Amino acid sequence: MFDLEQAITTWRKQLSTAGIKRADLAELESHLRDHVLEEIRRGLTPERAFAAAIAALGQPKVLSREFASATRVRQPRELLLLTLCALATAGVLCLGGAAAFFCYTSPVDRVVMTLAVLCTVAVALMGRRFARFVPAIPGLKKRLLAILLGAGAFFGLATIYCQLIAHHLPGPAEGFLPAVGYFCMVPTALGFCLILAFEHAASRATHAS
Amino acid sequence: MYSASMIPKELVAASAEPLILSLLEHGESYGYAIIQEIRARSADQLQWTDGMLYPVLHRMEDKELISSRWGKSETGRKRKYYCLKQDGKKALKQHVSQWTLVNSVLTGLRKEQYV
Repeated sequence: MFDLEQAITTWRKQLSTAGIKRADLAELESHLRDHVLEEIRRGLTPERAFAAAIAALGQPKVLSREFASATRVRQPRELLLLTLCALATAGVLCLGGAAAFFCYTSPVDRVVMTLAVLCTVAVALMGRRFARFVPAIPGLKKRLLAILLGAGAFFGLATIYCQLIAHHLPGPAEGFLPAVGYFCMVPTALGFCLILAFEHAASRATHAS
Repeated sequence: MYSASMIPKELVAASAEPLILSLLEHGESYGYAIIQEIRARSADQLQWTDGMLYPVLHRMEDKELISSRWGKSETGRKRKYYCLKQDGKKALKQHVSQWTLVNSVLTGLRKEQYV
């Protein structure tokens, strides 16, 4: 006697051995069950309905090859950028945290520091989403120029903050070392995030066309 | 090799994305229903190998053209539903204008042959 549940379990095992992931298996099983039900409704026996449904889905080996090709492989350049982003953000967090809690004692300074750290983390976490607001620049040279300009602007803002504003804020000036580190790290982190966003925007544009 | 009604696999592959996008424009749907709908609308002439649809859907999701969520079927089973995103709407517009162009060039050339 044909047992549909048993047949589906065996089929799942075959696909799993062929290398198809759990989430994809669940989706394929849902499809298979829809198809089997439909065929049974049309008057086929469960055994024939099952045979028709797996034939329509395709061979496990072919399926697993197609599923593997659909999984996005991160480019080495993207991986490197992601690592640099993470490192720079971690640096900002350490230095920013140290500066906010050991060197700067005035509430205004702490608020400014915390805001800067939060902004950096937000940009780092949302690099991909950020991409939709960044223009897609196809040429690598032009993209580099845009990135340099962006990073330069961040350095400019950091200089203005350190040289002009920070001096006038109340609080002791001992925080020199973390402040210098912070001054270098924030634009670096934001710069890397910006590069990532530009790369992503450009690759989205290539995909779309 | 080809019968008159058989659509070659290159054309099937090229038309998959615009067809899925326009189908999802009517509202969210799931894999099996998408295949059935396309088959019915093409009078059985556009036949996808069922399993191949999912990698296509996943690629489109990766490009952020569509999004997916796990929901429940009428019988209470788990089922993955897909719906169109903003970028998908834009991509659909682009596809439609490209296919319209190809179609108009083809129609224009055919007409000239009979003048």
